[in-house]
Amino acid sequence: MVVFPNTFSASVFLIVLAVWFPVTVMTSSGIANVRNSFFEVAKTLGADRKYLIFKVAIPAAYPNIFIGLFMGMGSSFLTLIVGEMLGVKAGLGWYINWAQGWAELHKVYASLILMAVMFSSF
Amino acid sequence: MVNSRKVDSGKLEIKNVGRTFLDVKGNEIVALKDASLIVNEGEFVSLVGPSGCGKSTLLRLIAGLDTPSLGEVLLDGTPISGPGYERGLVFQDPTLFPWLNVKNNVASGLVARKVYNKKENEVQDYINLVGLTGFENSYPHQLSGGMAQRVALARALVNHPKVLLLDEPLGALDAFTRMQMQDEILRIWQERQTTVVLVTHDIDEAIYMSDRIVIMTPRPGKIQETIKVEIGRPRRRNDPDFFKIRSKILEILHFAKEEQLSYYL
Ligand SMILES: Nc1ncnc2c1ncn2[C@@H]1O[C@H](COP(=O)(O)OP(=O)(O)OP(=O)(O)O)[C@@H](O)[C@H]1O
Ligand SMILES: [Mg+2]
Repeated sequence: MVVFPNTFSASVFLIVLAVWFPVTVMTSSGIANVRNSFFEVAKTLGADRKYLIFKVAIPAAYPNIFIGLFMGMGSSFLTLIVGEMLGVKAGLGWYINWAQGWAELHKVYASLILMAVMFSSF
Repeated sequence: MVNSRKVDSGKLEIKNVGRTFLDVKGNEIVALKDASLIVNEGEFVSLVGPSGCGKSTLLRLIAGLDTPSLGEVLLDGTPISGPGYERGLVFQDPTLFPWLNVKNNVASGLVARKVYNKKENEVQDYINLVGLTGFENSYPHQLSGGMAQRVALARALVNHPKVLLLDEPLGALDAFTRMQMQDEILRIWQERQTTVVLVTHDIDEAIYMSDRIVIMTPRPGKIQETIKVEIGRPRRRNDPDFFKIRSKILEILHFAKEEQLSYYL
């Protein structure tokens, strides 16, 4: 808590990190794996560098980029819960901590089930 | 209509071209040795020969996707320095862009060259020319192999290439689709009068389609002989002259490979 003035900015940082990592890795590996013949065909059709990047490399890597985004979405939710438990005063993570403080375990379990249902789609 | 525009150049000069690759151990592989060939404007030339004799290597050098280790390749007197739309290329694998539909695949050359706005109407012309009217909005995975190959052909043709380079474009097709596509390519070639260089494993295909057949042999890959196909067009597939040319080609390939005959048999 030295770098960040408050828990909110710290949470934002964690979530950005959690999203950035899978998106970047999946995008770059997706582009690295684009079949060379796509670039070759595009070149024989008269493509310049810009076309090769924006009309070949990126569309060819779409499937990977989307996987990265989904993974990022999943991990951002997890990180959000952690952030809420650390100090953000809202959300399910915070609610669990709060309910726990009052020994209202049925609310804790309800929140856990809710999270499980919500996050299972990611 | 597209066929009214003829290309009036497209002469290829391949001058003493050599291409050497290094294998993983650092040994030199001579993929092509001292190849010289002139393909005249509007001529239909086939490259035949056993696997590994440098056919694709030569085609890639003409396409500008690779550079010769020795010698030079000229198009209408100008050295080829890289890929360009005036030399259209179709591979065995159609390599359509799977994220684009048929219309946009065919249009991609025009988009890449930033002339799509001016020439948008030609896209439909070429889709019609290869017989795919009605499939404009289909995606590549919805097409059969033959249809996909037609799209690849239309995609190359829409740029009005002076030279059409075909690397076993029909190799993966069944016999019927293959014959149909051969006729289609011939029809387009006669209408547009482009120079065509076709790589094929199929000797009959080479005889049926070409003005001249270039016979290549491997290790090191080189041009062994060039023979003219002096049979009038339109040709009949069962023309008795085919057989003569066929046995001549086989003879040349056998003669050149006597010591390694068992490899091909
Ligand atoms: N990029 C490369 N790196 C190393 N060697 C290569 C490369 N490309 C081709 N070769 C070698 O050059 C030789 C000729 O290859 P090429 O692909 O031109 O043959 P081909 O006549 O097209 O054969 P096929 O009929 O099987 O397609 C082969 O021995 C091949 O191993
Ligand atoms: Mg080849």
